[in-house]
Amino acid sequence: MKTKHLVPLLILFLSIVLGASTLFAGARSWELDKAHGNIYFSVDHIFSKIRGKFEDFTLALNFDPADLAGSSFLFTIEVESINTGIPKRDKHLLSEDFFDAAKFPQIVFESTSITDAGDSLYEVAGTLTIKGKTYDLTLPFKLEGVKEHPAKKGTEVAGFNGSIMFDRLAHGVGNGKFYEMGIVGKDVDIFVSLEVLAEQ
Amino acid sequence: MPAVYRVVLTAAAVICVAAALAIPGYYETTTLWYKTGVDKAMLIAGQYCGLTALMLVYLQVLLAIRGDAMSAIFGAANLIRYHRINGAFVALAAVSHALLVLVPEGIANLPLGKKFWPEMVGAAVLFFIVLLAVSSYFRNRLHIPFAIWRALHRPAGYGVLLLATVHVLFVSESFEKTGPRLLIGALFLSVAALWGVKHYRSVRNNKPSSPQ
Repeated sequence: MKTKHLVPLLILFLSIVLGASTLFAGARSWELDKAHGNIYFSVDHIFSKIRGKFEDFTLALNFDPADLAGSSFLFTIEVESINTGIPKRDKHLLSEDFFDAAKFPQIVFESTSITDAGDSLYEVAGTLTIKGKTYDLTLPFKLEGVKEHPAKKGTEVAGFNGSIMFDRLAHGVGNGKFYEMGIVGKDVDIFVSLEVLAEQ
Repeated sequence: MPAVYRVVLTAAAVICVAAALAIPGYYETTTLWYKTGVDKAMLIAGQYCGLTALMLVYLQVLLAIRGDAMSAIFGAANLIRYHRINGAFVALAAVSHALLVLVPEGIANLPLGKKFWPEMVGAAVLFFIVLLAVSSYFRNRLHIPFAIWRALHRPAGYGVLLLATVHVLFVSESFEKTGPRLLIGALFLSVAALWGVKHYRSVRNNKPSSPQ
């Protein structure tokens, strides 16, 4: 092959590669700020509220309000990281009575579609896989804003907050024994609060 | 006269064990509230086995110290014999305790990690107890020279005394109450003080603290 053909071929190749990568890039990719990303829960115990959180989870996030079709959320929660402040209670929650973490170490939520519900609210529909079964679930997230990070120049920070009421028994978290005894409620308030970062 | 002392000392030991065994019933752990049926029965039995093991560890150290008074009352040879027999019961109670408390929570759901440090201390205690029992009962078969065995047996045994006490005091909320803490603390300090006196006398007289 002559050299004079090589340059146009190289340009063509680079055009195809760059064009394809732009076409399939999807929405903007964001990285979770782990120090300011939390999944909290609260559940009734007889009369009181017990609060806890999952301390270890990852989020793969692509989000652009102008490209919701290309946006996606993928949460992977390590069940072992549950923390209610009392190790023995955490151990009980990890047992077969609740999460059975030895058999089902992760909870995964993967979005399938995102809808703009107006007023910065986004309905993130997807599938929740918990204890080996998959359920449809919609998480409403409010986009609190996007701005340059006050502490880190050249980085943008976006904030999401969302909460849902989660029927743990309908999702296999417990067999209802403690609910019937009037000890542990079945409805769990889940509150997800996230800060995510991206290069400007 | 030694017969009277034997009865008094044995009665004192029985009272101490009974007092310790009363703790799980009187100061019930909240963990028990969330167990039912067989799981609850196993956990209760596990607690009793654990406390029995601790009391037997204290007794084991007293038998190992073999103070002059104890030797005069029970006879040195008897104390050595009781020490060997008691060692087997310590191992049996400790293994039973571990199984009975772990099975109801699920063997795959072991309490591992920093936040479960009292349970991890308990695992170390169990390891050393089993090691001490096996190395003692099968010392000849394992071809362990006596000098090496004794050099390791003693510090490991005193380590078990300390770590077992720490495990019990911090693993269960029953021992967050003053009464149980005082009882276990007093028993531990009494045994440790007796060991200290015997050790001091041995060092002062420049002779082994308990010749075999």
